[in-house]
Amino acid sequence: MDAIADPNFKHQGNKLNAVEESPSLLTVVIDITPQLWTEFDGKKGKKGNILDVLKALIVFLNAHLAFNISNQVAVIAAHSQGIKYLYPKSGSNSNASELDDDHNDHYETNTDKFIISKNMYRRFRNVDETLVEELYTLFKEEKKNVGKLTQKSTLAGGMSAALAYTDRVTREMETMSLKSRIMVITCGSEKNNREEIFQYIPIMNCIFSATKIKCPIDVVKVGGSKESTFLQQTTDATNGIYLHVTSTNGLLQYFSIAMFIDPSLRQIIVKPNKGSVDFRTSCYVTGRVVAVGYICSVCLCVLSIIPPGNKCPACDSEFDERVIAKLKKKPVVPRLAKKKSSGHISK
Amino acid sequence: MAPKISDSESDADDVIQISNRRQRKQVHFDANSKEPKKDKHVDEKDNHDNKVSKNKKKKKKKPQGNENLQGANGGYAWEDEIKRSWDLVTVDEEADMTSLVASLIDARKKRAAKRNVTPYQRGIIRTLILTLDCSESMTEKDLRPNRHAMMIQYSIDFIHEFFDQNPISQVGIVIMRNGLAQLVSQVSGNPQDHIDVLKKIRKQEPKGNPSLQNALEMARGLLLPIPSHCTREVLIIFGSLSSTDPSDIHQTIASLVDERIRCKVIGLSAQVAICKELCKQTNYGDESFYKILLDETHFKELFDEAVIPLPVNRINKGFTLVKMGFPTRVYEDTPTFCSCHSRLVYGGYFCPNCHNKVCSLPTVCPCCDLMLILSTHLARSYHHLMPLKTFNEVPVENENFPTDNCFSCQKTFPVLKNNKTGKLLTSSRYRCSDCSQDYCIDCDVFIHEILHNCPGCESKPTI
Repeated sequence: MDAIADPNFKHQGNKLNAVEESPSLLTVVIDITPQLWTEFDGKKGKKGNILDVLKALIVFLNAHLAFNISNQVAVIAAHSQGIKYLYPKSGSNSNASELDDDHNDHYETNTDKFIISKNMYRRFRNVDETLVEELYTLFKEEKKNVGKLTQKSTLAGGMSAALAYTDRVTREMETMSLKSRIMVITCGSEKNNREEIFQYIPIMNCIFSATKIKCPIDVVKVGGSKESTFLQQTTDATNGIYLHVTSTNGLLQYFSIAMFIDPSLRQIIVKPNKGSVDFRTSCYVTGRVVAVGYICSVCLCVLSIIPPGNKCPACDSEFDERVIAKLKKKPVVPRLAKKKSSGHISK
Repeated sequence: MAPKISDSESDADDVIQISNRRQRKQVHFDANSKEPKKDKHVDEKDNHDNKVSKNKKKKKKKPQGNENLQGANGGYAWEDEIKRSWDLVTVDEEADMTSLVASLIDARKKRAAKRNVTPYQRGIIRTLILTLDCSESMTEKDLRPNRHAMMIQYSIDFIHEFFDQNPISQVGIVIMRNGLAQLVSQVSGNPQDHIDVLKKIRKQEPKGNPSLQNALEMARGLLLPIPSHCTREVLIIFGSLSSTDPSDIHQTIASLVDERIRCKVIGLSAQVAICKELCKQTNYGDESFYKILLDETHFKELFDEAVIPLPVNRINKGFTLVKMGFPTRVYEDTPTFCSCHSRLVYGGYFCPNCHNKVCSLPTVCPCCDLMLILSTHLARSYHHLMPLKTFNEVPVENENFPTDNCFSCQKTFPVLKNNKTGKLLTSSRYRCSDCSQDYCIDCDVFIHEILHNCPGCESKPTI
């Protein structure tokens, strides 16, 4: 009789509640630098690869919203001249985006009637419409930017903003125990290794703050070389997923299989990025990869050799002579010398 | 009967004096309120500082000399005006406090975001001995639930924060209890060990007297074998007002100076002369290393200050090269033993020197004594060396701002207006001088305390 007594049922009810998923925030940072995508188009011999990615992204966002009524999304575009919030709409031209949501709706439904059907679920439509519209204006602007000077990618800026946004939303929804994650979509090019150097410190900083606010960063790299040192390190350190796809065909499937693994399940499920991550560093002077090196205690630059003149080449601080002498002495192993000498004698 | 009468008379005098003072101050603040409102923060801060110094002056126990007792106006410290924190709040006739409170909260956050941004050469590889007072005075309940519990809680937070910001540093923990110094946690770079120990101490009842000398001698002994490229630091949390020492503590202090050990003391009750002297001597005459806490949040702030590595002193410099190994990571299908814990683990790191497997980094290779780190650990300390510029508050004068939203989080900037005059109290915008983007106060704090990246500067395509 005890088995069907009231308390047992109540207990079960509680358990069900606990299992219910907590809401989550998905922030997508997408690199839409036209230069990269056209390069990729050229290599694939197919135009409009970015459209495939964006289509897949929109479906992906809708799917995320469909999981839980309080799920949220945000999309940040890193373009050639800066970053831009695609959703929520950046309010520089209009008033507060959230307050004027209804008003915007009216306006948009009038202009874009044919893009998105009115019968669509409202939450999907809100996101999709804003996204499409903002992308449209962004690409129009990009047209003017052709030929402007770009020295580095703006992806790190986008990631920084995504982290700040995540921090803000988590703070605002403290009572709901919101989970959050960031997804970075980028297009690989063959020659971006050089410009990656400028991104090293900002991306590292992003990694540390992401681990601090417990927000995994997932990376999808379309095309290009398979490895992306910094982004792989990012996913490794933040418990994220690194996914490299060679073509945009069936991207949605990749998204839905790899990217929907809940962060709490990631220890159990086999992730696509299981493999080695390049953690090597290179010497400041010679540029060689270092396994055992010397580190300047002041500026932390890595050296494979003891620099000439006992001066740090990066920060110019003079090293303690005695310590240097000790370091220089090390390779001479006394025992080895003995052996050699004994060998000579025997000969 | 005569003395009684005189007593009451002096009481009356006191009352009159106090009311006089109050009046004077009222006048002072009226004059102030005519000035723009934002000055008030500054004023408040000044006052805050005043209070600190006064606390020190007022509560001095062992007088070192008469000039030390003198207040700012030349008289004795106890003759200074009493300033009460609640007298500072000036309210309009309308008595609307909301906007005022909001701006006060902003001011507090602002203080948190204000960091020193001059790039110093800092001692990044640190060795710190955390010395905790576990004497009877720690049972005092002026911090909730009591001093001991709060100190332990904050110490745990401190250890987390410390290793987060200084991944290649080491910490040891010593407690002062029953007149003895006990080493409770060996000098090591593993935060979890320290935290476990601290949790154990939490259950222990504080007892007896503290002995500064014993603790300092022990710390000195622990720091002696530390190589010269590491900094040697002692952080003391001291709640008691006295120290029970076996011999002359001044000699100990002198030997600390010889060993280039730098001490920092956080006092929980009142200023103690010997602590002040200790900090002054070991920090080359800089007295700012001895701080007394004002309240719980200040206690936390003082702990946070100790997380930031100290600038390298001219006298204290030890620029050297440190030999380190960057191991490669391996994945294995079958578990093998690691050399550090002798546990079966899947994968790990191979020491490049002796090809020995360790399971976690950073660590010292148990086989060949090489310091093993990841390049990411080095990168974690970069922001100490290259701090981010502080953002400047945008002045209120013109009410036309370029954006209504925070650049990084898209939050709409709040409009805090004085109800009566309709003037903006603050612009709530903080601008980076390099990329001239505006940020909200929360982002400002987040960017400077956690992110260490300016999203605006990073999203510029040119360098």
